Amino acid sequence: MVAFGAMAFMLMAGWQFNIGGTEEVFSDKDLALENAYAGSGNNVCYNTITSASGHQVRYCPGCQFINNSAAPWYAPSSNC
Amino acid sequence: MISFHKFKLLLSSITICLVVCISCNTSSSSPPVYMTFNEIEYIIQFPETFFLKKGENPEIDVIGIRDFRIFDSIMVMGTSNPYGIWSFISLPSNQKLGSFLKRGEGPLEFMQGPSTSNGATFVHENGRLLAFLYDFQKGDVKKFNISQSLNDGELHLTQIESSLPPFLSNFIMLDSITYFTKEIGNRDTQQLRFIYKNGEKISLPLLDRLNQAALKEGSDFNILATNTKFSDVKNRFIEAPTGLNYINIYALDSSIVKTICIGEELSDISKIQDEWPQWDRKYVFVNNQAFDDFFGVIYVNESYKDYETIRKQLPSIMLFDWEGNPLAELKMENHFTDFDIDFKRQELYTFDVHSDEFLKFDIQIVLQHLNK
Repeated sequence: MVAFGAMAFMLMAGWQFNIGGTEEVFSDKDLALENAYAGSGNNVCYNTITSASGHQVRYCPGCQFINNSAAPWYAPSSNC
Repeated sequence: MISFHKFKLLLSSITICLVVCISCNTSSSSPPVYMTFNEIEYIIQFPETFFLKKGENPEIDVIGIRDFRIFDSIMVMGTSNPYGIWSFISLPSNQKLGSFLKRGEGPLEFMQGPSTSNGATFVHENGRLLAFLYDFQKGDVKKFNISQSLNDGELHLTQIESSLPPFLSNFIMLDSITYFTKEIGNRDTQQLRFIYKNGEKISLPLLDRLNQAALKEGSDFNILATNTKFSDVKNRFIEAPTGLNYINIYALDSSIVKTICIGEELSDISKIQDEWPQWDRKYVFVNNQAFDDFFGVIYVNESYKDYETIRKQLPSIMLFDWEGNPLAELKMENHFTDFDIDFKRQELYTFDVHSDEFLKFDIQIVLQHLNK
């Protein structure tokens, strides 16, 4: 039911604003830049970390787990 | 035949109905998830409260401190110094005794840590102080003869046989062949406790009970993070989740398996992951420490947003006996992330990794009261 509702809503939105589903939104260059920035892996990582005993977080440079560390709530995540 | 405008109107009506139905359907929320045992005791108040006023600066001349422990008259500090990760001073003179352990990729070097409070097991053996250090990056265990290193002024560190995985979130050496471990698993949705004995990975029903707590895929696995300590005197573990309001106390022989909750209602893991944005999630227990006759936890109970910026909530140290009964609450006026007690001089030390503030407090009255 959720999927059907979402699909109907998107169809409506597309109809109203004349957005075609096959139109090119991102160029290959955009996607390549995004991949280069975000990395190609599926692991969530952070560039900013803080001390937190008992926590672990992946630090983006190297994609390694750092022990006793956490990502601050305001730090944007990336992928590695 | 239905006109285009009528069809568009019909589709709009269906969409609106579906959106209303979905938004009204609250019964589909996830069932509560707890990381507890069957026996749960709720702690509403403590029999005693002590107010510890601003402490004294112990004048410790070591920079880059991360954490610390006290053993008799020796204070061990984990630091960020790559050429001497652990620094030692004698108490109460604060005389420097030496710095050991190097950061690096060599066989006897560490790429991270090791932390003195989370990642090392200290033992007294034939009058010598030893530490068994877990290498977080490589997964191996090293034996650090602290007494001999301080005596000779040179590092006595040897690698010992172990078959542990890297990146364990908790590590405790129980005896020469047995380790307690906790690792992130099942596609980052669980934190799994195991016993490694002679290299064999063993599950225990009481650990499996806690291991059942699971998150949805993609959730922050630190929702299940805990700090675990072990008393080799009582043979008991305390495990305090950093973001949940309860503490698990257990022994591997199941002589005690219980949960104590601070407050009247258990933190619901499901609600935290589904309904609380990250900045509203809480640091409840920042750290803990096990002593021979009791254990203590640092209780903050403040949102990530406030704790990581303005820190409004002053912490307290909650003390419990090894049955989980509340003993006393020490209300503090300073922020800190680690604490330990010098029982010889009856002084409490606190250290805050965010501000580098080291303080000590006379707790003679508190300890006298606990010994009654």
